[in-house]
Amino acid sequence: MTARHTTSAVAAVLAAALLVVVLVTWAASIGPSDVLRGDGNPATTETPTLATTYTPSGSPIVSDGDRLEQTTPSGDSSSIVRTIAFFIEIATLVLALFLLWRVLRWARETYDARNRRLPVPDDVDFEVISAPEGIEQILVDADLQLRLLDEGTPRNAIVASWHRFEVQARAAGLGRRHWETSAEFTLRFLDQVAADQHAVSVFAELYREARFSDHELGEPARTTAHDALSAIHAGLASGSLGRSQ
Amino acid sequence: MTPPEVPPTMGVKEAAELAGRVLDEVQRAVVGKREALMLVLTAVLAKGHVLLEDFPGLGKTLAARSFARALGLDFSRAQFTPDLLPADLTGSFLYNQQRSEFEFRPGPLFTGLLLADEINRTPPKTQSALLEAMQERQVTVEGETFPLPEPFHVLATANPIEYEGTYPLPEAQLDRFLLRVSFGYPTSEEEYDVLARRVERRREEIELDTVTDAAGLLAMQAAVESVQVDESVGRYCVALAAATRDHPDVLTGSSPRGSLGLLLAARGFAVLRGRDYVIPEDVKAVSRPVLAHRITVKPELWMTSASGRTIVDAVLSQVTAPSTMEARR
Repeated sequence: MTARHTTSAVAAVLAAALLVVVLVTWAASIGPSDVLRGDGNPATTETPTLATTYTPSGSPIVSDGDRLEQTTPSGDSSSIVRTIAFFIEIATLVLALFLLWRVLRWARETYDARNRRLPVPDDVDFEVISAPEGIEQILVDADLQLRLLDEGTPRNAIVASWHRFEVQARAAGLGRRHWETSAEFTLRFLDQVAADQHAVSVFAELYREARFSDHELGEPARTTAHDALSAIHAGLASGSLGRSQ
Repeated sequence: MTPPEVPPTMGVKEAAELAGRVLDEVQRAVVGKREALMLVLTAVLAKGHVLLEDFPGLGKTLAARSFARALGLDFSRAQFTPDLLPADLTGSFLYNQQRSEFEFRPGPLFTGLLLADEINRTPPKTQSALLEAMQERQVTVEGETFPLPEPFHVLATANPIEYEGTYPLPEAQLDRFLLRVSFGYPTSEEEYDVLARRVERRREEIELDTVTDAAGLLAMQAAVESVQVDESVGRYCVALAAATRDHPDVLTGSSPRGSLGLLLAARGFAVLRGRDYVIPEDVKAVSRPVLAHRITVKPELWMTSASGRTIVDAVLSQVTAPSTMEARR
């Protein structure tokens, strides 16, 4: 149970206890008979009792002068009780309104939570770039990308060269979502420009190995990456040429 | 993140090849479901236990038996019923009149692969008898501790739709399962293939070949221990598990055992793919079966579509993936 639910439960118990106290106070102030039948106000009742004496013969003699008058608590004490009851009733009303507000807020939060999880998108949830724009960005950057592949250790060269695809995609208007891995994003980009799938797969595998493995990555890996990247560029260039003719 | 020095007696490529043959053999009995079977084998390679939760008749028990056969493990089956007692699983001391002493008679837990069938049909007292066995790979009976054989794996099955006469597994018990896997219904092609194969072999039983043995499985598990996990991938596992705790629909998120489970399962998955390193996509591939059963959704959302699975999906689309160039070396 969360802290909010605990607060609501405690408030509900307190409200119920307070209501019971109010009802008991009210019932005690007006007497048990008026709880069900009276007008709700404490009543002063007169109950005449007769003082009775007995004669030697056993017949009773009733004296009118000994008539007694009994009253319920005095006017001062009943007004105090009524005042206390009034304030308790006010407090109960405030508490009831508070509880109502909490219940309404809980209902609204639950409703919002239901609607929050199932957003209905107005359009498709992926970006699409124009293939020519993407190809152009790759081909413009091709020389730099190949040069990066020749610099430094094979591991760093492959990672740096792969990263250029992300730069090219961004230049073409395709952004990487923060939860997307580099490979997911780049493969999405290269798929949209219809790059050579086999070469892309080879280069992606080398990138993953270079980025996440610890084992030795030698010059053969650089050569393989170079071949794959050249194949990607050549395929896109020939496709681009074909489209322009 | 460098794993402890465990000298592998089998290379990753060799382990991947052997694992592929195990899967192929199991698929002779279980039609289709390659991905689900891969997840089960992933958990076994990662020295974990699996909860197979699905509707009746979808091949859960068959898959468990087939894995035991293909992996060459001792197999025992415990049918979990309301009157099953902990001693029925662990074993108990019985009086030997000839030797005038009590001797321990091991229960079905003393095996290589235990099929705990319909685990949610037995009361929590008996369910919890599995806890020590699953976590510490030992059982304690009357104060005496008995180690279980190596390897030891539990494949438990549960029916998710029946509530009458069942005892839902408590969170502490669920947390002990590395993966929760569902097979789902077969496609019509796969379902017809089931019928055709049955008609072709002219009998109910399926004879599978043993691909490896307990020692072979231990060697494969040692190969998994040699798999490298880059720090960024380890931190990604931690971030995913932590994000389940902060999701607004979640009452209780994944424990740290969840992030550890992600890492271990991702290593097993990497070996199945023939790699000696883990990539973030491995973590994503195992995150649903590793995390979903460790998440408790807020009770007021019981009428909505919120579930552990939807929350894992939401978390995967929130947590930042490892960067492209972090590990320049």
